Amino acid sequence: MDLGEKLELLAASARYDASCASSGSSRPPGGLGAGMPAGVCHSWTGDGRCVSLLKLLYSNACRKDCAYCANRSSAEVQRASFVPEELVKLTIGFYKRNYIEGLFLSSGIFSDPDIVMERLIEVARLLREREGFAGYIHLKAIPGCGDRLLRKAGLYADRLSANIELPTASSLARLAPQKSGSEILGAMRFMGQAEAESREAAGSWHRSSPPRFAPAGQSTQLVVGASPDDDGTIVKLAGALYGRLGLRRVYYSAFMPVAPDPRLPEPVAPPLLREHRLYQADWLMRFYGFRPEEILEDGERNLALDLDPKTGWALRHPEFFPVDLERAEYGELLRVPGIGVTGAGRIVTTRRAGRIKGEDLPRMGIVMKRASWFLSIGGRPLGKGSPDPDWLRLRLQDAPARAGGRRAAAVAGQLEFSFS
Amino acid sequence: MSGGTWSYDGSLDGLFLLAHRAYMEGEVPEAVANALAVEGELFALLGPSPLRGARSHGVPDEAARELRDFSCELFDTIVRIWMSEEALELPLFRICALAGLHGGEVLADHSLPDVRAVLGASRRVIAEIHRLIGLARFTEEEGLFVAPLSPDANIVPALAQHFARRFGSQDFALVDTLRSLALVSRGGRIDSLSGEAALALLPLADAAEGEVQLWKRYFKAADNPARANPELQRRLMPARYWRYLPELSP
Repeated sequence: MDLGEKLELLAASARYDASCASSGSSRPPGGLGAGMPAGVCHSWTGDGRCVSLLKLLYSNACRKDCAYCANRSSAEVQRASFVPEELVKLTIGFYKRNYIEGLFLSSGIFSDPDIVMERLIEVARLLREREGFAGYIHLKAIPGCGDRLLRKAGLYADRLSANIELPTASSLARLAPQKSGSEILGAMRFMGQAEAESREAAGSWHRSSPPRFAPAGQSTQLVVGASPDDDGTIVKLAGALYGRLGLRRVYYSAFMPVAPDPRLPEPVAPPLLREHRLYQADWLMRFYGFRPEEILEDGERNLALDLDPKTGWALRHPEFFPVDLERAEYGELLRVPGIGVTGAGRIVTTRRAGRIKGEDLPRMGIVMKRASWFLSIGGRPLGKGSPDPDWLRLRLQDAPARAGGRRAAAVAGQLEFSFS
Repeated sequence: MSGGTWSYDGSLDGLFLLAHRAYMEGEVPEAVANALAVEGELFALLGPSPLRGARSHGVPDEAARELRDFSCELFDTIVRIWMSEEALELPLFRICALAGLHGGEVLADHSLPDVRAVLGASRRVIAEIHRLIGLARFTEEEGLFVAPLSPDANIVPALAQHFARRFGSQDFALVDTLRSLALVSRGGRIDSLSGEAALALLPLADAAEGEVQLWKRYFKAADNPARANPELQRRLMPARYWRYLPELSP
């Protein structure tokens, strides 16, 4: 198999991993490359997903037989593996032409976890030490490998990730019986601890620039729809991963049936809208100050598909509104549907400089058709009185839920979070 | 309002000089004459290069330095308005005059139409810089990696700063085909070229065509047809940027 064929096969095998961020690291320039803290998208594929990193599997050979995975041991697919030099050549060649921001390297578990992890580390070592590469490297942490190897991986990589894939032990036992939840969480705990220690050491005055352990932190991924687990379980788990283990990102990947299996649900369209709502809920936790238990309340198990979760919260909490534009704090403004992080920031800075007027809001990026129902200015509501809650809910539903049609497909599949 | 018309040569230095005047005097003209806009391309070739002002990024003149010391945000906004090539000098000078009288926070007052117009243009420039940091595509010829670009704004100086950091010792050139301007980095030194000399840098083919073919194969394999969403792809990557992307060429 030539390099091009391997590249196609092992890129296609890696495309189910949603993570492709190159942000969060500001590695100083090296012989070639430099970190960009905000990350850079270099292209977008036909599915609308950003291409930032060269995302590949080292090998798609795997000992494990996880029901949802395209590379499971029982799948009848062609198998291939790179050698480290091939991956180094591809990464450097693509980086020099500005196709990519760096490398994302994962792998099937083709051997003992230590051996798999060592191969991934060797690629990163060659890039960093021999090629002087200072671009972004994301390595998959192979659960079950030794802590010494994880520590070494973190010194070469900007980000590490161990994918949980399924949110409960029972689902893991049913669909991925060879995976160990405690091994995955153990690796995540170790990486979180190593990152915290490294951050502390970097901040202490008596050390001069010690090597940072995975400066962009760690991430994980959950498959959505392969198991019967509800959104409440997923949101609660994500909240715990952010809060207790200090993860930087949790990714959600709509389950795509790749081969029939009696343990899986009947093949239907991938739950892209559900995945989108989970990302919105995730953003509420990361940027809007919401706690997991606020996102799904009163025994609700799943996020509404017709409403974004922030609007859902606002409709359940009329006592919180109206929020007054002249007095509300930043965190209160963030709770208003139609006001995003940027808009809330602009309101606060404008207020500091002068008086804010209702007619200025659209030009500040506030979506008035949503926000006006929840705002007042100088004690006077901006919307037209207090509408009937059911009527307002209908009015604030997303277009696809109301009418389907042309926008539905675009919104359902989108991974861009422009909601506010 | 001081009345009359203020003139400058279209350079960033010239814009800083007038912005500084507005800031110091608290007055603005009735009109601004940008000699570059008035006299067109001929002036650009005979007069100071529009890229000349880019040096203000590193070693600002006294007017620029004073404005930077007063407010980094105002300084950056002036640079971006120059890059935008939009006729926003008057609103910019009005903001500078207000800032001189009342302080730098005037840029935070989004209720002022001038602030909205100027910050809107500034944001468009930032967005295009960020977009082309990702979408510039370099082709190798005799050890020089060259990227052709056709940006809406005159952002090549900002892009050169980014790529100098990213590429380290790799020689590269950015060629603005719309303005016939280029910045060339060889051995860490950056020079500017204009006219035919700039366009002559454009390579005919990549010395390592195999790399380009591998990239095209990778891009195709990374796409997941089960999630097809071409509308989103076009929205995030507007078609006007596609002409230089090998992954989207047949």
